Amino acid sequence: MTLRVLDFADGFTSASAPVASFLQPVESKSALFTPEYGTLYITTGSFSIQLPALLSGLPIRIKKSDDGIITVLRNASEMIDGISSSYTINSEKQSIDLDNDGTNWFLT
Amino acid sequence: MKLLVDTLVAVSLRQEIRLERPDRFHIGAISLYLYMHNSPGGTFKLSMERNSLLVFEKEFTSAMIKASLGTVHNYAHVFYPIIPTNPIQLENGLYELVLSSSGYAYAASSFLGWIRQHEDLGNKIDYVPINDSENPLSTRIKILNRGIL
Repeated sequence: MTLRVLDFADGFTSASAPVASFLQPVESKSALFTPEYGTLYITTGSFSIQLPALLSGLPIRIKKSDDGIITVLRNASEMIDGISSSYTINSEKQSIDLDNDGTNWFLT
Repeated sequence: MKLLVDTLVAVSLRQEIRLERPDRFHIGAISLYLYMHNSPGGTFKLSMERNSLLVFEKEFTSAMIKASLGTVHNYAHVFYPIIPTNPIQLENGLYELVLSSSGYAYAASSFLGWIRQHEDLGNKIDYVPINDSENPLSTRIKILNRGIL
């Protein structure tokens, strides 16, 4: 879910883009899922996260609530922070932000 | 005015809707409260499903949204009516509205969104949203009067 709050001028149409800000949804997860861009996921336990197709713009944020092991699976053959394999989040209560440039993932 | 827009990015946008009428009824139009940002390319499709089976689908484009508003502006929010070729006869039950796309690529400078609203004059929600992101995707359904069928 990628949510924007737009401040639209009076009327239903506009020749120019309205001012926008982002609203970050938060979801809790405890089993395999594919995250959506612009969302913060709070995880519980050990499981895998299947990354979506690359689309630059908004990060995917993951925060562990316990000492579970989260395995971040690539969507295809892209790299995660320069490494051509899955990425494992081992540390207790660790958090990561995943951004991409349309080609590879980066931990930010 | 402020709009809370759920952006069509890489996956479809879905909204469950429960229809409750005293009898079978015909739908004349389904209007999604859409936000168009810089007239995105591609084709969009509204599908209506029940138990994952397709009930109805119809495609539209941002050019059609602009034409419906009679505007040359590329930014707009509108309850865009999607009108089936023939009226759809339905019975009560839980349906799902799905907004998907083909040939469309999300970009921060050009995209389509579906607006979330807590207060919807036509529909009531059967849960309590804990924050605005849980508001339903706003929709209006036009029920045809039986007399004209």
